[in-house]
Amino acid sequence: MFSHLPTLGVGIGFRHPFRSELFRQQQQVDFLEIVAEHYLDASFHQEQELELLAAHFPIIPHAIGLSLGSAEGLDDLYLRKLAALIKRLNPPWWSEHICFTKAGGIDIGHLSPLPHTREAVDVLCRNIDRVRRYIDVPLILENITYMMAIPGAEMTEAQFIAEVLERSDCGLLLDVTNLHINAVNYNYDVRDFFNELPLERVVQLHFVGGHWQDGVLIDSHSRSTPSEVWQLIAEVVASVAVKGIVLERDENLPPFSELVNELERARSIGRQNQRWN
Amino acid sequence: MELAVIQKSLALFYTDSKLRSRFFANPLQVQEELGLSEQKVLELSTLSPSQVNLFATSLKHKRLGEVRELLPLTAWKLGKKFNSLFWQYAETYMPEGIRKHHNDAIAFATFIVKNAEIAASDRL
Repeated sequence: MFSHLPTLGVGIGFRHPFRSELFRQQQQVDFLEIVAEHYLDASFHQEQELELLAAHFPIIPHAIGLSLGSAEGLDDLYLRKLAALIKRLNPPWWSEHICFTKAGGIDIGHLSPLPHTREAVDVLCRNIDRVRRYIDVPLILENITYMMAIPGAEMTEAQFIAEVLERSDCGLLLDVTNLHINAVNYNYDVRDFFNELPLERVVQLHFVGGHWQDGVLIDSHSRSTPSEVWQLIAEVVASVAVKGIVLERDENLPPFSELVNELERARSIGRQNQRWN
Repeated sequence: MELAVIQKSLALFYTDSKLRSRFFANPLQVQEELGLSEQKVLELSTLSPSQVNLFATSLKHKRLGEVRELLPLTAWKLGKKFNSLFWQYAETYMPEGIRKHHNDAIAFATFIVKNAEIAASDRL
């Protein structure tokens, strides 16, 4: 289904503090994921940075503010700028989240969960149709964490994701950490979740670690990857022809060598399963 | 188009602490204000207040982190006061758009200046 997409291998979410180290250890990183929003209204400096990155690595744009789940529709200006960025980078795919970030003129500023309803599926599919009029690069959708489940669900989260992926014909950016965090916080079995997902649509994975706060596991991208997540990665990579895997560390950044160790571990899992070199 | 009204209500719960408190104290009292049916208001009232509060707080923490990065010298100079001023300020302004963190930083800097001016005039 997504077999025509190239295998990118092991990548990292680009963050400024490790820019120098990234170039020093370039051979350890197969590709980069950039937060698209950082380059939509780019300064001259950011434009130069993006050119430099693109000259050395394949780049996957990762959008966080398109708000694909907004029932009131998409922000035209935002969509046009995102389309221009993606056209310029010409990536094999790009990604966004299954969520909403804007409603009633309010920019929530973070990925917010949708109710798992048929209307929300319709809204997502309608907005994705609209996005495709501007962007013809394959779109993959990411599962999010949530601090509260929105009442009124007509299906499980996994059924909701599956329905959206099937109807919109999108790939899945499976954030294994998000899956683990939700399973812990809402006390469900990840394997049951997997059984309801169209795993053949998985194109890319995200992984990192979170932290505990007041009895809740928080998706803070602030710790090294826990063993439970490594186990899930191994299971997914063994059963699905994943095209790329990205370490998504944002906070509490350790020395780059520690991040490289995590990349190497991911690389070795892919190698064991003949997914990449 | 019920989803649009639900999403607007959720966005308000996440970003407006006074409305959030009023809603959880008496959901039906804010039903008209939110434009929701009685059934949907009652459904949303099953949201956990502590979970919604945690999410709302995490949104402010995220804004604080971004603004601190954009105003490093101000944060250094104000020390702990930077955070307490930000918590006061965050209730008064919601940034939006592609450059929302920049707009947030500029608005917060303006808030700090106004706050300092008021404090100075009070001392006179």
